[in-house]
Amino acid sequence: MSQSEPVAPWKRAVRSPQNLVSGLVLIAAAIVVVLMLGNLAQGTLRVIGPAMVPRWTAIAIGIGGAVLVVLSFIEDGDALERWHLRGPAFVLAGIVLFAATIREPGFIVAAPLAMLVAGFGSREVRPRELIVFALAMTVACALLFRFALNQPIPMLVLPSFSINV
Amino acid sequence: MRSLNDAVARLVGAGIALSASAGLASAQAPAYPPDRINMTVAFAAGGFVDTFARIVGQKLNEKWGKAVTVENKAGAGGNTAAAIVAHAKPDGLTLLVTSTAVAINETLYKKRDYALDQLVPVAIAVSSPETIATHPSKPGNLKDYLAWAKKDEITFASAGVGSGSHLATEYFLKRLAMQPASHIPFRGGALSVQAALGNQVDMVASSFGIIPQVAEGKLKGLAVASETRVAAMPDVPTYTESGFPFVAESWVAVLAPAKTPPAIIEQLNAAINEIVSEPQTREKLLGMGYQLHVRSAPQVATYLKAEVVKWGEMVRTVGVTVE
Amino acid sequence: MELLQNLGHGFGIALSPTNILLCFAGCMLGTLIGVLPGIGPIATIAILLPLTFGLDPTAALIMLAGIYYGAQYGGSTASILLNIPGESSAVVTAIDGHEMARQGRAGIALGISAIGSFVAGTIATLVIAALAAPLAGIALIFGPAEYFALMLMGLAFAVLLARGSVLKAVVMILVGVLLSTVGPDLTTGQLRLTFGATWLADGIEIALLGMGLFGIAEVFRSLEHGEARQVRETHIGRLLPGPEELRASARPILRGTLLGSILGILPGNGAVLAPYASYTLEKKLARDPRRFGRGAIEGVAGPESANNAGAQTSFIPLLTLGIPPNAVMALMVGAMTIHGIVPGPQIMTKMPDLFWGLIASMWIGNLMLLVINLPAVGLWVKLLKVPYRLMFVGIVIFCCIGVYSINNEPADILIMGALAVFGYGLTKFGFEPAPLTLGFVLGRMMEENLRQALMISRGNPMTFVERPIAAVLILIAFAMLTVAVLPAIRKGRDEVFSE
Repeated sequence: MSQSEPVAPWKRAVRSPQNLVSGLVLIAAAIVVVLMLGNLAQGTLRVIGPAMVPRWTAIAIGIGGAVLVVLSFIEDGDALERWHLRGPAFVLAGIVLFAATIREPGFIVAAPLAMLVAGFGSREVRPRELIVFALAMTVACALLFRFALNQPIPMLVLPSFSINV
Repeated sequence: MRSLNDAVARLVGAGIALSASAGLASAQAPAYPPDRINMTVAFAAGGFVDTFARIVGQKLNEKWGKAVTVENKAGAGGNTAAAIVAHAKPDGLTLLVTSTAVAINETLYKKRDYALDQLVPVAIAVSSPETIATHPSKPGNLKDYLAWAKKDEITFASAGVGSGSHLATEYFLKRLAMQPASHIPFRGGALSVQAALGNQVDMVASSFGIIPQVAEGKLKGLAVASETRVAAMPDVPTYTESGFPFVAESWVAVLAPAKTPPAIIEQLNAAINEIVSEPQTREKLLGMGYQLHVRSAPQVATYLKAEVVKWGEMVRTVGVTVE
Repeated sequence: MELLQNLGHGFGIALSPTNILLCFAGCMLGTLIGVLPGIGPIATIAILLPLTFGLDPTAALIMLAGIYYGAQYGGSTASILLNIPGESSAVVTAIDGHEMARQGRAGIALGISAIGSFVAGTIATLVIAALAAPLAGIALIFGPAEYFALMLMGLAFAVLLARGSVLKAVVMILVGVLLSTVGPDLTTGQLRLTFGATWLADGIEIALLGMGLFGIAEVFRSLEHGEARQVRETHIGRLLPGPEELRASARPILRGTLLGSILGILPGNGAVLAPYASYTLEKKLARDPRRFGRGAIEGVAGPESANNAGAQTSFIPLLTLGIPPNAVMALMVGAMTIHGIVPGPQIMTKMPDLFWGLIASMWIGNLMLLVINLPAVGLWVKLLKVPYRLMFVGIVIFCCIGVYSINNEPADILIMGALAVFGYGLTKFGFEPAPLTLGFVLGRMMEENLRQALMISRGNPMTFVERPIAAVLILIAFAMLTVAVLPAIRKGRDEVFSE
């Protein structure tokens, strides 16, 4: 950080932004969990209720988060890392598409679709190569999982044409 | 007991009426058996429900020469699979294989994605009585056991909360034997049996899973909740013999979506009855300690209705509900 | 010697041409499904079950057992090469195994895992043959109180498992425990933390956690660097471990085998702890623990041996008590019942053919797996030559299919995606997913056993102190925690937090 730029005083006080943010996230998560467990019984030591273990685990997580927040002002630590969005975005899109299309119209559509979209997560993507790879993998996986391993994965389901393979 | 019997009688009537009306519902008959039959098992692979499904699946395959797939859809105490089959096309292609849970859950669960009248029973051909057993270091006779137990609240293990073994045994202990007891649920029958083998609990309640241990003498069988003694453990008396008239059996049921044509139900019912009557299969199932029953489709429907009432009464008495 | 006589009898049965062929088929199939994430031995054995009807029961069990330990061998392959652990034991192997692969030592990692597994399998087979009957009784001493203490000790291991900050490791364990409580409560049947969603109503599958937190999250991380990953494609190095590596691994393999053999006997699935325990032990014994997590061969050899030994000795509670310790063994019970065999204490005496034949076939199967796996190492390593821009697409699709095939439930695929984002976020904030996995695996068992123990003791927490085994295990757990935490507190500086 260059000297000439004025830095907000709270920013200077934070010596480990990574710990600060993760601590805050943990505290928030702990609070959400404790609130979600509100309607469940804690029980007694003799008959422990469904809420006791998750509630105290969440409280312990919250305490851990608080310690991290405190430490972030005391100890030097890592800066926040950059998130790279391209890879996760395309891969997740591929995963979601697979989930959406596997039941209907089935694997023969879901697999190439998911692979073609996910493939763009790499900056070095070569579309033509990817298409060939996706088609080959689809055939190979269909043979392997459906026919060799006998898994009940729907291959092609088109109710309007009454196709159900 | 009397009110229970009355309710059973009423429901038997209703059941007959219902199965008759279902019979009138549809008339079209596509070629059956089809190319592929899918049996959806409501519990994990390896259990007695799954084992029965796979035996029947294999035999149906041999009998009809059609592919029979067995798929495990465990979850929500059997409700996941029941809901899938309840909403499946009523073409005899999709069958549900489940346990007593399908009757218990009618009362046990507050919320389900299906109702039992969306399903029609095909066959209930095997059963095993709810059995209680104890470590050999404890009194091995029900009367002596209860006399010994009187001093304190006993612990009994079962395959889980709301399982048939849990309900039947808690019902028996609290309602019939007036014995204070606390139920200790385990994840699956095997672990509950293990707890009894290790003398960690005072009693274990189980059905199919306990027979080998009792037959071997590793556990002492206190009582079986059937009309007659079980061939595989002939030394264990029935509850009735010990002075507590109480019958509660765990069974495996095959069901189909409610609107399945009755002709298909009849055909499946006949096929399954034939399978359990085959000498080789029969011997195998009996050897495993199963009781076998040949029931016609209407008889099965009647029996199921009665079971729903009976288990419902136990669920309410024990006072459990599950979300 | 009666033992030798019995084993000889067993080999006579296991070495019949049909049985050898079936054992081989089982091992091959097991290796295949072990390599593929998600498709575990459970699904495969269930599907094959009806096909074994026509077989003689001993032959059927030999084949099914082959699938089981074949899958144990295969499971490590995917986690070493691609960091896709399909089950909890493979998570441990992935820590150092995948690191070795990134350094171009994939072949060595795969080789040592095959050799370690074979040694472990051989010793464990002898343990079963010689000690099955007496050991069975010991297993029954373990009640809920002892299991709770054992799980607690396991969690203490997890703290030592972490590379970085102890505090962050503890938090991760707790998050794992919390995730394990999602779903129905065992004692009351009430749903917890499901957001009212039906697809969370039965909790989260461990395979989802493995593929999301490790497999896909690793893809996210790798995509950041583009083809910088080329490094590992260019130099692959020696294919098999040399004398140096074998010497470094010999003791870890033996120690892992011992740990695995002991934990595998416990009917409550104690075997899941074995690889974690072995990893911790090796890290503690190492002269330079900093190598762990950075490609230490002991971190592969020990846990792999422990895992395989545990997988073998899991047969003891099944064969002697009739109690299946895990889902695969439960399926074996199903397989036996279908063949009209009632699993239980009498098998050893009433069916010596089956008992000793199965045991002999275990050793034969392990030998076969070594023979199948060592030459395959070269093949697997070649797989790494596929450019990463295509490789990751393959990983994604295999994970999708694998997850779908567990329950045929598309929502599971979405959960895996969410877990992947979570896993990616964890590394961005300096957290590690391995302690979380152990917390997840042990969390549920720990809670259930705690509640059972307290119900049995009628609410008296002294049960954990009065029962000697439980007390000792809890003492060890606290000692280990102290060992892990003390130096950090004393010096109070972050450098020490990361050993």
